[in-house]
Amino acid sequence: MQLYLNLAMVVCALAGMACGGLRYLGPRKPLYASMIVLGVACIALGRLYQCARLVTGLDIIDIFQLGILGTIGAFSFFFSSNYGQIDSLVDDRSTAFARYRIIASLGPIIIFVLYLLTIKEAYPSEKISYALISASIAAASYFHIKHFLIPDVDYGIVRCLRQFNVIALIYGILCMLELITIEYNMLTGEIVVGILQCIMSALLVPAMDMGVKKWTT
Amino acid sequence: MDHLIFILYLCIALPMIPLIIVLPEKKSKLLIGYVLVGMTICLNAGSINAILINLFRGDMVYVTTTISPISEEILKALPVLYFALVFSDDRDTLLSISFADGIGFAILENAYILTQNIEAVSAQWALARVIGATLVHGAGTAAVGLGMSYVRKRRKLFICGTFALLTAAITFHGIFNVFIQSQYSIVSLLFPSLVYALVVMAEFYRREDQKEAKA
Repeated sequence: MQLYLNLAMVVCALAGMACGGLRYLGPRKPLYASMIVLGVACIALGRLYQCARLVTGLDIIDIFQLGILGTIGAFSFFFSSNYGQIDSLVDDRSTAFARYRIIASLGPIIIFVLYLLTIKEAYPSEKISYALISASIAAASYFHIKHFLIPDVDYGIVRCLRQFNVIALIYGILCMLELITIEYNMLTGEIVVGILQCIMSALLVPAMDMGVKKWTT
Repeated sequence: MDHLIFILYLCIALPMIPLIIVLPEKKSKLLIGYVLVGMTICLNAGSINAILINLFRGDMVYVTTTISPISEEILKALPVLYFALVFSDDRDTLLSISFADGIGFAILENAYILTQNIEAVSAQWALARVIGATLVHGAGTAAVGLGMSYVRKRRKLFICGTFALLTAAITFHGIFNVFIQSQYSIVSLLFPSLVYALVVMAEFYRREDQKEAKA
């Protein structure tokens, strides 16, 4: 089952990238968009690594394995694009935006609570893996929530990217839920979460593409 | 036999030093120099991998599919980071030297693995190693080099972006290492070739675009 789910995620992430994403890897395209596309490519790479391990008869659970770097890389790209490219345009660090920063802190808190649930039954090596995944998702989730809520009166860029930020946030929470379902051996839950992850990973690039088109036209 | 990799290093890498001295162009010196750096890193990575294998109680498969891609990609990235910080963060130069760094690493690694499997080597093995491993090491380091081109221009992007590219390079390397040791070794030849073809295409369009912009 894990092989099919991971394979489906590879296909969905690549299909999402193919829907308008590949042109952002070309010259003179918004760096923000290029990083999102690379993030989704990381999801595909990480899942492909897990497929490779499963096909060749190696384990992917109860150990530290490189598949987690796909998720970590993806959320590092999402974090980097929001923090490095967009955030300074919408937040001048003034007290007027303080409440958005406080509300956005809920993202990392929720991810931390989910992390605590994952490590209850986990082996030490898994705890390290889960901590790394959680840290990357938590950092990105702060900006996903903040850029969803912040008014952005000057440029209107993040308003166009709200759909992407919501989908990325949901995908992050689903990644945490995936860890929980694996830890507690909830097969049905794992399948449901896997299907939802497939849908979200396929929607990430098209949602970003729609937003970027809105702000560039 | 213990020091075979060191002997290979002496045989393959050292003849490059007079070449570097003789070459008139700075760019060529830099490229050959970074091939040499890549080989030197491979020499050290061999010792580090031996320590890691001992640390993981001799589990060679686990170390080669999970741990060594991390250590090798980090080691290969260090000289590129040094160049970006000390000399230049020019994108084209960083891409060239990082690719040369990766290729140098792959050359010595291939030579060493060849000596270890001398009875079992075939043309298919050689193709998989030469094309697959060379592209994995070259493209992986080049991807990290791309992130480092932002070291001075955009510090925020440099740190997070380079880390993200490093994770992608490690995963890419990991996939290759999993397949090359399995019965599906042909995938380890096709997969990097496909990625490399896409990278070359993107670079071709970028250069064409630059020419158009200049014209």
